[in-house]
Amino acid sequence: MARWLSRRAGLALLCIALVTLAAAMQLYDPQGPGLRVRVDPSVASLVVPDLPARAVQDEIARRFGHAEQVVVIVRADDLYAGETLRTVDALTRALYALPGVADVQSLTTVSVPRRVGDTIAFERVQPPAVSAALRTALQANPLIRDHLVSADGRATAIVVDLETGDEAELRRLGLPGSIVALAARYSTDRHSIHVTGPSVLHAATSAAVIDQLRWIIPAMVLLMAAFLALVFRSVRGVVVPLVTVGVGLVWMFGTFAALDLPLNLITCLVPPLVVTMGLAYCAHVVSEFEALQDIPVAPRERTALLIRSMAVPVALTGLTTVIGLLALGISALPAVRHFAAMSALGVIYAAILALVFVPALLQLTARAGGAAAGQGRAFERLAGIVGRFDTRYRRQILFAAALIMLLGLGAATQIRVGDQFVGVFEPDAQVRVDYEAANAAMRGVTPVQILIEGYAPAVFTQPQNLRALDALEAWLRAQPEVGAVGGLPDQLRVLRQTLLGGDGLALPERRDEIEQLLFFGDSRALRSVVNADRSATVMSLRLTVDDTAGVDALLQRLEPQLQALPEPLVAKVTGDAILVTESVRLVTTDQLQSIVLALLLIYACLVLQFASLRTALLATLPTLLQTVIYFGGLGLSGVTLNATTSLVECLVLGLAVDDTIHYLSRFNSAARHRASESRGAVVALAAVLRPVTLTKAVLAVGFLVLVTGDLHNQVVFGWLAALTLLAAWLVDVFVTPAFMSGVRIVTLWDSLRVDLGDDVQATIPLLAGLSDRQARVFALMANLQTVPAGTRLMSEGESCGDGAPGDPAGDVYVVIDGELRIWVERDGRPVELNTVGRGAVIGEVGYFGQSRMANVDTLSDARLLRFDDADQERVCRQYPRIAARVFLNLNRIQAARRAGGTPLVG
Amino acid sequence: MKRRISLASVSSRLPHAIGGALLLAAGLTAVPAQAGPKLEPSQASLSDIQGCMESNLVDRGALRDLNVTVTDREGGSHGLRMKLYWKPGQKGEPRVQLRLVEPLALNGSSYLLLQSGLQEQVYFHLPSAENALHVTGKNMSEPLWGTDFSYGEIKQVLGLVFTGSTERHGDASINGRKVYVLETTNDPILSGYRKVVSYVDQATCVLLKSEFFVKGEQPLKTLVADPASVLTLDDYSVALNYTMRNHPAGSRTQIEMSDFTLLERLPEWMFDPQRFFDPYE
Repeated sequence: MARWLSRRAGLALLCIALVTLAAAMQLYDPQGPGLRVRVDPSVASLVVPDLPARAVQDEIARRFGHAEQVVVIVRADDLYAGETLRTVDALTRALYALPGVADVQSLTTVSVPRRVGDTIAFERVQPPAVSAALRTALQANPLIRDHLVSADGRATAIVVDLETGDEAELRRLGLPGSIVALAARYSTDRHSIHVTGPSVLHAATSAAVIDQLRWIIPAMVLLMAAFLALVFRSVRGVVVPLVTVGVGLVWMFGTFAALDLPLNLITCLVPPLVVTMGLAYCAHVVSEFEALQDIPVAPRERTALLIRSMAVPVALTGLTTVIGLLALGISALPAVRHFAAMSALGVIYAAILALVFVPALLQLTARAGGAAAGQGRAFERLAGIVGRFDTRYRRQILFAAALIMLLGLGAATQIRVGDQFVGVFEPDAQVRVDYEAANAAMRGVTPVQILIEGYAPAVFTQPQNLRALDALEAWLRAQPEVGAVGGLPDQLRVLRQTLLGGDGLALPERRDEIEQLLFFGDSRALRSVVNADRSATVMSLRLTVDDTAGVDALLQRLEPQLQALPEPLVAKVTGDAILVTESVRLVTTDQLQSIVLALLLIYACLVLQFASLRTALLATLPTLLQTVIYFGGLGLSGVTLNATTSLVECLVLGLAVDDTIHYLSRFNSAARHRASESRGAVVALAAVLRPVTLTKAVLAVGFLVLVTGDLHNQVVFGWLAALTLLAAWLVDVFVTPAFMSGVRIVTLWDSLRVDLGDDVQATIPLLAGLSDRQARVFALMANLQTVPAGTRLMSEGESCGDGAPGDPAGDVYVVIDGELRIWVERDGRPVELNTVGRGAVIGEVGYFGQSRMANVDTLSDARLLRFDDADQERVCRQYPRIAARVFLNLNRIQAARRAGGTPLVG
Repeated sequence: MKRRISLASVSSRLPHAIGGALLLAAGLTAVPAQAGPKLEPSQASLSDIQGCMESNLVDRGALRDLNVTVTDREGGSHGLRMKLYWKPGQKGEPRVQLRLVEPLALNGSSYLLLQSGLQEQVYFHLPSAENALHVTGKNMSEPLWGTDFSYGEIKQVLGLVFTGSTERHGDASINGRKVYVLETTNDPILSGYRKVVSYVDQATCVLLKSEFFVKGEQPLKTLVADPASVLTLDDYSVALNYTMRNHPAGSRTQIEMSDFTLLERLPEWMFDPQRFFDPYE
């Protein structure tokens, strides 16, 4: 495949160009003015569908006619000053005139009932003057105070009912932008005006998402280009990755358009992810290409070599990242599932481009390079230093890692689950400033509704049920998260005082009174809290909290109160805040399951790769450590676990395990080749340090660009991803080599490649009774070496030490093929003892701690299986059945020699 | 064809219009509406049309069976039964009393409307209260008694207009009946409506349809008379059945009128703010 591709670089580029063209055509909208990529800023993208609270919300809208609202807050030192009242009145009329506005309630539209003797005067504030009596009536009316007028008389709310809650329709009407613009026009030094409400937050989110896509991706590309220029110091090293990323983005956006998937708060992270992943893969491939420049082969052959050397790492890297991402597919949140699917697709695109497009482009633009070689050597030197440090201080590093893991586990117990509403915007964002000002002025602006169902007509004309509602309202008002409460009892109190007279705002106590008050007090406000047959009512709350943790805490306390309502009343809570809170709860549980699933899937991959459950488990430990560090970091930093932060771990899990696999693969072969785990650890680190560092640095730089965005969740995502990558790099560079230097790994593929010759069991007595695969596993757990002719393997009288690892005098050799001469020197002359070939075992005396008894030289090139006591120990631990059989065979060989008088050698 | 006229004078006759319009449905000797127009449509000015509508009014009387059926936004249905009495004051000023019969919990509740020039005095009495209450400044756009009508709309229906300015537009046709088209524009903040388009039967000067616009070109509510219920007695005509539909809410209110007594001699105390709620029948 590599050769085929290397010979058809032009064709490969043409095919990619055609696919890119097709993707670009998907993006182009001939009917519309721009691209076909949609942006969905709605809270729906962050809400699990089919939540019971969603049905309740729809039911309230249907039965009580609740509309989507925008709240405009006017703040002034004296709300009742003429100028302020004129502003409120003018703004009310201007707002009412806006297309898409159904109704406006404000201080100047509301009629306030005021009873004097047997006269009820419905009075309206008429600017510029307001009487002291009306002012008092306004501030005393519980339906107005804290709802339209703040308790301190320094702020008033203009409540704008929108004709529709459909965000696409609102955008078409220019809402809520036109409301915000009007508010800005009427704002002066004497009174500040703030606009807030769900649709305002959604519109701001939409703008932030679009702005981010407009500049974060270019900023990311520029920054990473600078980074690539610094690393590769060549135009090719910069241009090739950038062109590749550009192609990947067109594919990605084309896919979004073709599938009609919107970019929302979660899926808008996909394009930056494709950029970072694409650049990381490209950096890997270009780095390898630079390294291959020194090999004197034709360009096509170099391309084939490049593809061959990069295919497995890139494919494995992609596979594990895709696994990490796809584990998110179990999420109940469609946006997370879309993120998982599209990100996985993006990673596949990046991998395909890295293995097809980049080599082809490099081949066509190839010319000599040199900068990388010098840099590679610098990395090798650094790797040597770090690797030796890792092996020398192995115990200390492992102790520190264990300590960090324990601390991380402890800190992880402090993790708080939650998300923010307006808190996703930076503190100085206008939308957040307005929200917080409104929140402070009106004691909460986050709406929550409680639907209380009585299931029979006239239930809410029964005094005992009203008293229960009243008690619930009183309890709610005492909660710190609740700023204002409004419901049927408040309406009835005001109606009673107005229509029946009497002191104070007492609840009516007779059923006929209640029925008459509800009948004669009919109003839009009353209809918004109780239905026509008085079988259901809605209680409206405004919360002061801006995060799901606060809402959740309230819900936990509220639930028993609702359960305690008298029969037949059944209460259900809803509102955007409730929907998001319940979603976060569900999604976080899903995310934890996703992480466990990702770890299991990665473990399964490692089992397949290393053909050993135990080895795979050991190989998973560094990844597990990274996971624990991440969650410990969340617990320590106070960053909450939510849909966004959970994504980071699954993403980084996939990215982090890539380098672990790279390292383990290199370590396995290096350790076998060098006949030493310590040296293998250093060599493997030298091989992977540069690509691992470059990859992680490129990814971290890419993610760090997100911290400059307007949306707090993406800023957190950027920081977390970058810091987690740093932690992963530290684990890869320090912990994994230290940890793995004590473990020999045999891969299934390695075992299949080991050639022990024909009829192993019959021709090599030490391996008798083992299956072919077991024999290969033993050979790989030991050291299969090729020794040139004329090499002295051991010398007579040589001390065999104590058999410690690395002490060559304790080695046992098994001849796989070749001829060895065994001799001693007597009186200055060589005395031939034996010439041995395939199957012979040499050096077992040294193995048992005695001095060598003869000299052994190779007469021809020989393949020898060398092992020592430490190797045998490892085989015992990891493959006890193989070890037992080999021991038995070794004893039999020794026994046969003693019985047959064959000279013991070594 | 468009002519503008101030309708303040119509407002002053409003309670009279309420009684009068209902009165015409005496029904005992009702005959189908006349085929020919009361006015010459091409010549009729807005004031002519207004005068023609006023000519359907009867001076005094009682309507003892006014049924209102409300189908609310949830599809539930409930009914109201009322009685209506009207009698002019000593100076001819309109006076109307409304009494609730059903639901039983509200039986005895009474409204009294006294018109004095442009001013309107509203009193009402709840069975739970000791005295009648005088109401001033009530928001005209607020809904009334659980129905789809607001106080302003009831006045609109029975008196055509109550404020704002009206223009006559090109004639139209409803169910084959030629109608005058009158468009009244209002201050939406005060009245609840930006404009009201009314369709008045050219043959009888009975209101056949009204559309209430708040924003845009789709009416928020539509009032429609049942053409089959339009009856003419002597020179007086009336529609006996009206249905008001609230389009966004999906609710509707149907009014059916019957059991009229024309020119009944009603006691004066029935229009006294201190006693109007005393039992009468």
